[in-house]
Amino acid sequence: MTQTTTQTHSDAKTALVTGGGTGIGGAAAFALATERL
Amino acid sequence: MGRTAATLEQTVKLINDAGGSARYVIADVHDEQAVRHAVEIAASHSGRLDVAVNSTGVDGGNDSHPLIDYPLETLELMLATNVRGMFLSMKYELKIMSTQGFGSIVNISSGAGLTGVAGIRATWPRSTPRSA
Repeated sequence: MTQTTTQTHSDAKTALVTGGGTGIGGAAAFALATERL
Repeated sequence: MGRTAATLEQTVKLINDAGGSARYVIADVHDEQAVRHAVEIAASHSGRLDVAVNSTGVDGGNDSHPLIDYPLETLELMLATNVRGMFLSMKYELKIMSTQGFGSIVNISSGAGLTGVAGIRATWPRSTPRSA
């Protein structure tokens, strides 16, 4: 189960990703925090 | 705050190693106050919340049964996580976004919410919480 919350921050934007530890959520957190979306 | 520090720490490390900036909070989307707290922490650093991606979800794991034998507790877990948890996340994200006047929310669902999956007998219990 993925029931976690990850927050990502950058100078450009602030994003909150729930389920950010694994899977799609982890990939989204990574992409947002490194601005690869 | 959150439930699985190890995976969150790994994600944060990957981000930091790639030159990004991240931090995590241990939280459980079943807990309304924990969700509220997590959203407030996310917005506290910069004073705003630009984007929210809600990807928390469970699918019952290997607990695959015909509907007539499907465990009620598995269905209730999926509804509590995939529906109620998504609702609570959006509730507190939107409180901030509506006040600041901007923001984007992306809710992650599943293909199982759009179509049946051949070979998965418990299609209804799996797909309904994903499409609710």
